[in-house]
Amino acid sequence: MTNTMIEIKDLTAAVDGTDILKGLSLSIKPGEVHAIMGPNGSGKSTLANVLAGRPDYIVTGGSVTFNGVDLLGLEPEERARAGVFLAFQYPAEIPGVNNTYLLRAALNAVRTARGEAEISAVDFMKLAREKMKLMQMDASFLNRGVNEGFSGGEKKRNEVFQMAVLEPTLCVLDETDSGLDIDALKIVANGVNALRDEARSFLMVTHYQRLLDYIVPDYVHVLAGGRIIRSGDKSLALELEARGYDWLLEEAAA
Amino acid sequence: MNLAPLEQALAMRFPDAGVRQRAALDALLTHGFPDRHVERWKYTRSAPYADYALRALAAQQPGNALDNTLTERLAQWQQQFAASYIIVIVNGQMNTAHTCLPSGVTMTPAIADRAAFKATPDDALALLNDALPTTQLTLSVADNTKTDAPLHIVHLSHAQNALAQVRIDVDLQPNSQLTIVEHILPADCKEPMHSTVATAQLAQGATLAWYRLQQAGGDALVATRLDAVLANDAVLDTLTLDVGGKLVRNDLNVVLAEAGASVNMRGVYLINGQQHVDNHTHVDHAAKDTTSNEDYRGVLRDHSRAVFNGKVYVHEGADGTDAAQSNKNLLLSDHAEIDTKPELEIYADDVKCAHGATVGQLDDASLFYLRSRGIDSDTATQLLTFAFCREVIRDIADLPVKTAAERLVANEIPDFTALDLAS
Repeated sequence: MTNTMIEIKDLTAAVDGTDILKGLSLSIKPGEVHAIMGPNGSGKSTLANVLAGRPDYIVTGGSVTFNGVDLLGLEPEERARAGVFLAFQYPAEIPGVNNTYLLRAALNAVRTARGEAEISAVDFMKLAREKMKLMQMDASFLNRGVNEGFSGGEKKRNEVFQMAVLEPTLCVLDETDSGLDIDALKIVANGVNALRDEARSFLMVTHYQRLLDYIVPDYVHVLAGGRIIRSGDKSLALELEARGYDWLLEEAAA
Repeated sequence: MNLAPLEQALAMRFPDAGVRQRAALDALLTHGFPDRHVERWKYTRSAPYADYALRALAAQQPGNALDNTLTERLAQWQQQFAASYIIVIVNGQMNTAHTCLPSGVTMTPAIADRAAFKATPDDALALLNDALPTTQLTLSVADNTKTDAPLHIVHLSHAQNALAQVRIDVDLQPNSQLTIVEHILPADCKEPMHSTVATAQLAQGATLAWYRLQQAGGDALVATRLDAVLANDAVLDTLTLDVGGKLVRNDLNVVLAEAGASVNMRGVYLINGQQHVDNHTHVDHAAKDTTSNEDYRGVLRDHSRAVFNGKVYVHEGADGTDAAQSNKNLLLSDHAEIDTKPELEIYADDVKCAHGATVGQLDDASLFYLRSRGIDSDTATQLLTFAFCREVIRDIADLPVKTAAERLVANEIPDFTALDLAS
């Protein structure tokens, strides 16, 4: 187990006093792509937010170990610097904070934490332009407020763009495919696939099998009632697409 | 309150006082300074201004000379702005050695009577300014003049109990354009007071920007007022920025008198301690197809208190009016207080009006978003506070003014070092 990147054990969590996660366990090794699927309200987004440290998501039990460190003991910014990145389902619009400013500050926070020097303005712009090209984003994005006036699709692309610049160790994608048309989905998938390597892992929360045609996962987990009720390979996603969730829920209840 | 000394002072200091001055004084003596029972003064005390005036009148008045400290302060300021055109006012009195005006702009050291600008009995601060003026000047901008750079009016003070009652009237002839940047710089004395009353007449197609950056000091008394009347297609653009102030009252009254006139009003106030800032604005949509846009935002800490009263009055027949008003406040302490009152009165049918006020804390989702990108909690808080104010300022076309305003805002946010103004 020495090369496990993240080990989630018996995790329980509540939002607004309601228990959402009820004993979730999951282990991810470097280089793996895991997809989390499941019906509405099963706890998928809660899992993503809990890993990133959202303050109003209260962990009530269990543990999460990330590269040997107790992840739950870290502040959200410390998790980011340690290499955890959450691509938000609904990224915040922050007018008045410049996209470029935020991204450069974020990158420098990560680099400082890694013991690297801060990036120069020139090198940063070079890096940003390269990654924008990958995400097929217009250069004007850099001069706008964070997500300000972005369409749903643009926001999702901006999330993956940030991820590409920050190069996190663990990428958590919370329904990054929702609200995307097929062209945008391909661009987002391209961006994610370009980041895949043996040292980086992905946890993708999704509603639809469609995303998994473009980002092929190593494992698929079905989350229901705050627990993983079935794990398999990519064929499980296809089976879910064909049969829905009911048969699994019935099996789990039996 | 015994205001008789005001009368004696008027006789002593202004032996040649005209009808206008006397009338203002008579009105003050008759009505006194309004207390909280007068609606426009419900949350803000006017008495400290009267006390100050009485103290100032009893004290010897300083001259308009720049001492070493102020000379240095002015030089520092000039380094930042590289201003081409400037009027310097020291202790409320013009220091003409520094005056430099754009071509097409003429200055007269007096004001004409204007029927459109009559202070009512509850306008005690305007009456005081009328009764005891220390500087009065009229700026006229000739037809079709487009000035190539802003005219900066710089107020400096080094004397406690200086009477600084400045009156500026601006006349813009048809299709002329002028930007005025009024700087109320930190005073080099304790508890200064500054008052500017301004009026502006904008003829057809004229454009006026009036940006006021007030940084007199946390213990300063400040009273400002701008009354503007706009003719056909005239455009007025304002910024009222207050960083600190023991007691600040700003009145902005705009009459959109003819079709196509429009005004954009911006306000930002950042206060702490026991500071108090009151913004009263009034817009009259008195003609067809007139537009007003108003965005005032405040950041309140400690026991500070702010007042916002914004009235939009759409007159009968002013169809096609488009009025948007917003006042947003960040309360960063449990003890800070904001009294905000957007008012809308509409007597026309075909209008588009929106108004709203918010009072709250920083948005949790935005805060978490920034933190999830590795920005620490304190920096994220500072960044969001800055961004909240910056939204009001950021579309100011004059870059040095915008940058200066952003810097003033940033300096008011404790420990905020993350600002990269170049971005």
